[in-house]
Amino acid sequence: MSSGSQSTPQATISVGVRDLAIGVDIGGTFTDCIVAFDDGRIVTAKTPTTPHDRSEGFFSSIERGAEKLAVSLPELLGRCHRMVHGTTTGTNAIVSRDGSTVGLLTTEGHGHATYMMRGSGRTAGLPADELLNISSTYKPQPLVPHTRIIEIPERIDVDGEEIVPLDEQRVREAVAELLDSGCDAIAISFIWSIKNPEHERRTREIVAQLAPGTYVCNGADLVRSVGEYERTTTAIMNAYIGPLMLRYIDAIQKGAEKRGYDRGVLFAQCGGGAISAEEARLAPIRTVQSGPVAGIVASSYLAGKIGTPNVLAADMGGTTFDVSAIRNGEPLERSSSIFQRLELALPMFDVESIGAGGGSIAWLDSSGRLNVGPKSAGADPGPACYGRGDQPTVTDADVVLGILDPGCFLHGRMKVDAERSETVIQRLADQLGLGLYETAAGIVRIVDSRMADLIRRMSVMRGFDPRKFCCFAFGGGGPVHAAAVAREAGLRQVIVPLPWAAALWSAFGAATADVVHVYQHPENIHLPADGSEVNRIFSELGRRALRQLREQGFADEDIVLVRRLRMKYAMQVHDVDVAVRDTKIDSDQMAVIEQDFVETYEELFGKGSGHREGGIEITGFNLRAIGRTAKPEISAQANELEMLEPNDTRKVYWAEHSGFVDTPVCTLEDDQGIVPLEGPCLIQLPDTVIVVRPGQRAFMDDYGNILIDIQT
Amino acid sequence: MRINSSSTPDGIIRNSEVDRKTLPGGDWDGKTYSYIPSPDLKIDPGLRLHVEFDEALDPVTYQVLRSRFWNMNLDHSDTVKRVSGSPVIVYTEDFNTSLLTENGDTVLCGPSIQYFTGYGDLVVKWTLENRSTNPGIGDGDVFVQNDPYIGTAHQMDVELYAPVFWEGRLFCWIFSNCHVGDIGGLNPGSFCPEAADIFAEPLAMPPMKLVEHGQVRQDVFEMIVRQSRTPANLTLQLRSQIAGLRATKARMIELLEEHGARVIKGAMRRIIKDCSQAVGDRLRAIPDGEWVEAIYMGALGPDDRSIHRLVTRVVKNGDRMTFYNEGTDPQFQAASGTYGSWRSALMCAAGTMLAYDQMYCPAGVIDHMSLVPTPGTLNCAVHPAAVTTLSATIVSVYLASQVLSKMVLTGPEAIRRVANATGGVALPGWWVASGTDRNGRFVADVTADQVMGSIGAFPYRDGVDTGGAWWWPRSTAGNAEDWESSVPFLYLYRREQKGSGGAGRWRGGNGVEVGFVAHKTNVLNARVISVDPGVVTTIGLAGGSPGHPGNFLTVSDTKVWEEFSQGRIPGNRDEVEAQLGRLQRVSPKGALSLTGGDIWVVENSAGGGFGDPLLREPERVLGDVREDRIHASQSRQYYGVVIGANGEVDEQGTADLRARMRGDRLAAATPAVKTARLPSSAFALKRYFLTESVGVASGTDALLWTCANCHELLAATTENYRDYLGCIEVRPHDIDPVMYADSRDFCDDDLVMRQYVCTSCGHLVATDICRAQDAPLNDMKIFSLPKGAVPIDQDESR
Repeated sequence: MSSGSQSTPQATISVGVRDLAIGVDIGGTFTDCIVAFDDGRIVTAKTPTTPHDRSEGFFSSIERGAEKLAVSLPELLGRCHRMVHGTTTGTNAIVSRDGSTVGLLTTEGHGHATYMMRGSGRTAGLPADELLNISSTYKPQPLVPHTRIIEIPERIDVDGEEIVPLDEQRVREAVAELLDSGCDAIAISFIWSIKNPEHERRTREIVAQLAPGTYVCNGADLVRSVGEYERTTTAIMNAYIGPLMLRYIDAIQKGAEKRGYDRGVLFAQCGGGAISAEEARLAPIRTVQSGPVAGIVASSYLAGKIGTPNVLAADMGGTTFDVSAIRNGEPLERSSSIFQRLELALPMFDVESIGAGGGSIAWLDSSGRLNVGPKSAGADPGPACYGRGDQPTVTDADVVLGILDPGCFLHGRMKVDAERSETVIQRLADQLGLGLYETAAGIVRIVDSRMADLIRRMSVMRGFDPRKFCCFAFGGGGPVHAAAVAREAGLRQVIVPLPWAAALWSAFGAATADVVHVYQHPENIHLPADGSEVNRIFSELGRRALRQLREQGFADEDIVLVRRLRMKYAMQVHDVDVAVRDTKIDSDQMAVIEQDFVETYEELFGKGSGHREGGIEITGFNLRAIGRTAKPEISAQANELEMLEPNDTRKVYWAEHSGFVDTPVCTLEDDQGIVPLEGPCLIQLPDTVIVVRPGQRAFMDDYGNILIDIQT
Repeated sequence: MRINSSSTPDGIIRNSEVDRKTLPGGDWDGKTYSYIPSPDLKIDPGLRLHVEFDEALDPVTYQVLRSRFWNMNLDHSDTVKRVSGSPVIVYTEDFNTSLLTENGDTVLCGPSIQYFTGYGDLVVKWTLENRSTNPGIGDGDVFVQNDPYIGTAHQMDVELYAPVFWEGRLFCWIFSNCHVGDIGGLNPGSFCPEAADIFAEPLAMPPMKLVEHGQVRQDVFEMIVRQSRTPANLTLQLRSQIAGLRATKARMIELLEEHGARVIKGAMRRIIKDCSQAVGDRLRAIPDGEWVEAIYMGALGPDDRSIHRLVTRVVKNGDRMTFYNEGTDPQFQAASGTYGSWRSALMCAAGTMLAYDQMYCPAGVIDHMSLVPTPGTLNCAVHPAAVTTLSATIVSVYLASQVLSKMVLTGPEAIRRVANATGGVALPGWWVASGTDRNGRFVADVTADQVMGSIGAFPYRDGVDTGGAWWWPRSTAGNAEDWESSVPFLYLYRREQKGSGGAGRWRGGNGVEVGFVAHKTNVLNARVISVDPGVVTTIGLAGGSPGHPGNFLTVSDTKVWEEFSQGRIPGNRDEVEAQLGRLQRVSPKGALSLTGGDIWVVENSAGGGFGDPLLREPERVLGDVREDRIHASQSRQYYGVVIGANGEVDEQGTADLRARMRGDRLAAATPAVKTARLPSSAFALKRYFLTESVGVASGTDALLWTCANCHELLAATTENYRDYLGCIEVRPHDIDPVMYADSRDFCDDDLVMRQYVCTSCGHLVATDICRAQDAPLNDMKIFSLPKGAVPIDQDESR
């Protein structure tokens, strides 16, 4: 086989067989495309993102892929059995606050839930060390103002019983009022609709009658967990991006059809995996954050392939450092998350972030101390060396230290001004009374140590030992800083995954995604229980899941149903997911489930941390239905690569040596790998550089990943 | 001893927090009188302390270590949360963790509850002085204590702390303080409002070893757990704290191995030094002077019908603040707080205002504080006063923030920004819900709606509606659905209470109101643990009105279930009264048994306003009306803003109304007590901005007060400016019966609001809440002009 890089295997294209998947991920600057052949060959393409109409960039990136393969676009699409898109269209609309005009219909007496934010809105999503600066804390601007929230007389109780009938007349009046106030989307979210969705359903019917063109969504259709604030916020956010996402999804679908792709485009979702366009239309909110999540999917897939079950995936971009954990091969999930300081109840992969990236600004506080981040110069003005800003950043420090080669930004297409980096860091050095290089090394050490602190915190809170995890480093800054961060956090090994794909990691994740549907059902069952209710609920969820996946063309042997119960000690707050191994549950199996819960709880929260005397209860059901897709067979290929020795040197400042050292540099082209290298050395890739620190050792595994053994 | 000196040059605290020569009472050793440490602790010489450190620290290593300590402390919090799993710890974050030097100076605290931040140093220093000989302090030990007279708010806040030894010497301490729930006493949950003294409350345990040489002492452990009605919960809680200490200690040892003891201690001392320096710099930028605040509480015990006064005064000279509680009423039953609680309240407020960017370093704050306690008072009680209800403790937090707000308001722009009127949980009121739920289980829970609180107004922006409590930054009140899952009630409504924020140039944040019926239970018990909301605790700043202090209300045997079946839900207080009947007030010590159609309404405290409401921009008032933040009627009543038929501000109408309201103020005000005798050269004086209430003028020997609005001269700054202002004295309830409940319902003393107005222009200079018989507050003295003050006629920023 050919290598996994950008080769041109046009000779192997043949008509009539569907043997490739396409993954496209749209970022702020670039649109990334991966064409992944089932046999493991991979072709990458990058084109500029087209903010005025992102679907343009979407198709240009695929066209670019076809060009690289030297085939026509229809030919490429004809061979494609799956096209998965990770989109930021919804995310961007929320961040830039240019979504729809949403109205909310909610239960009488509870119209302020999204304002009150359970009392934690002022501080939600802020770094802990900023909370005492009270006069600088605000609640986020709500997506729906008071004036477009209408309370409807109706009430369901905790058991799903109707306490107050739905006032349909009031619903009609309310819809008219919302339309009058210019709403083009309506969110409906009633208290306890998860236990009895009838009032929401009926309200939706009325909205559909009165305002047939208006986007409408129900809380209980999107979220099946207790908590009206997060559910209502999710419904609002869904409505906020609904109309524009419908237009976008249509543009992608129609564009694909027009170009000859006759299968539906799938969309990456925040809970991992892909959903159909129909599902994305029903719940566009699920596409939010799907890009980073697709990166985790890719990591999880690779981790499985190379037999590394415990991974901390570290993505360092310009502004943030994001860490997610894969334990025993499974990405950790969370049932709610904070997005733009608003809390959403969507099952999502668990990602922790801090403001630390290449653009993080180095500054002195009122006590004259050197700090790095969380403020970032971002991409614009960007680091001082980009020529627009004059704030010293981590990237400037890396340039000053010789770690980043000014000629190697963005495949060498971007010229940066190293002198400018020196000027701004010298300014800081003068204030600190330190030398230029000491200051630059100090900036790097401080940002590295902040990232290491996050990794440790991520581990402690989730009850695992970082020493048993290896670090996957990707994003522009990941490979640059990972070796130092990992050393500081006590990790033993860094893996820069598939260097030729690392820069398009989310697109790779999209291309390798399974189709995933998550079914949730809230139900409180106190143990001991005989299992009949558990059976009944899982059977019902399972039937729905099978029907849906079969309709999407999956054969039964490609369908996997993962059943999990959410369980807790009655007097304690931590919910944990407990896998249910058997399809039929009786009392004996319930005892096994109970024991599994106790063990899982102790594993996560410490020995003796469960209050068993208070009782154990099931709080919810979760069925993850997976339609397994064909994936590129990543296989041992390093033996087909040309293994390079370092082919250059440059002067790099190493804090370990307190000075500059002539450092070997190995510049990798396609189809090239490295021989084992001793640090200090640099491995130059088109988009980034892998830093191997003094005392560390780098080598390539059989799959073409670059591994760094950390000396701790 | 080095009183009145500048901040520590090396991070070693040498300033004594009290002047022992003038300290009243007997020994302040934690027995009858609360413990007060000296800078020089009496420690058994057999206990070797690690004291030396590197003063010259490389700045990068310092920052790396500072971040490391901070994150270690967060890890400590996470471990406590993880193992405990208790809703009080995980959701409401009623705990805190900290790291202290070998001699008990608190290097940093976590971001959880902030009024715990002034206890750790007291407790560790007491332990060093009293336990270093017998039973000794050794490697692998963990101490436990909950004695309020040594240093905790009430007995339910249990402290566990561990010494860290390095090379045979005591290097530092790791500390946690957690609200553990029930630990005995008269009532489930351990709040004992009816306790006459501490002997009727949960056991107060002075420091003892819970873990010795790494082994848990089962005798001690069981003795503690035996006190609780919920022993399994308490067991877990103690285990979580032990786990947190162990993990953090292990991490500290790793750091010591990596960096060496002198560097680690150097970073700790440098954190204290930096914080102290920052606090000192800010203090020096504020003019020297004296500021006073008083807050009142009513109905402190089950049979109490009095209104009690709490006072805090601060005198600031250079970079040093001296606090007095003189003028505070005598200690009273379980509403009292100890010296430690008063001190911790002051440290919490001073830390927030003057060291908000220093990662919560209490030692750097106490370095600038002296305290002059008057013992036997509500906020400096002596043993055996009971303390579990926390009433005086929580009010002391707001008292501290009020008096320090008044102080910082006289400072430069960057410093005065942090001033903040009361809000949040300024009414120390909780209620416990209990009953048998629909699964036949008995449940009892302290409800948390009031945690949603509110933030009072700032000098340049509005407060935050339901913005929580500033001293409790990471707490959450949970969802209505969460509460309905666990307690047998149904919310009629749970909303921001419209118009509840205090009026002002900047409006206080609105609070939260909730209404309930019992649901799927035979009876829902509601037990209130509060003080009288009719005695307003939610005061404003610079003339701003108090926020709604809260209320507890009920109406019995209504037809609410018939209303439900007809499709009607009363969605707020007005609708309850319109549909179901008039609400009656419930005593702050009341206990109700709710069944069927009984309605239970709880209103929680809102934020105080800032400045004269007639100066609020009319467009903001209109925005509040449009956004449903205030009632339309309030726009005229409080703000003098007329909204025309077109829904826009009627500018002429507003100007006319405001002029009339100022005239009405002057007509209603009793004349000034004194008339100014001003120097003949007064016209030539330069006038300076000081606060939104009063300015100062200089040019003669004496500084003079001026009205901040019209700059008219009032009096020499040696005098009480209130004596030179007109005064409108009125019962708050008579201004607005919904906003301010009638204090006469549960108290015999007469509570009044005094609004002081400039007799020249009608500007509202100050709004005080006090008993009718009290002398006017004299809340500000200025000893010097603000640094770098620019006369108003040359000050372009004004």
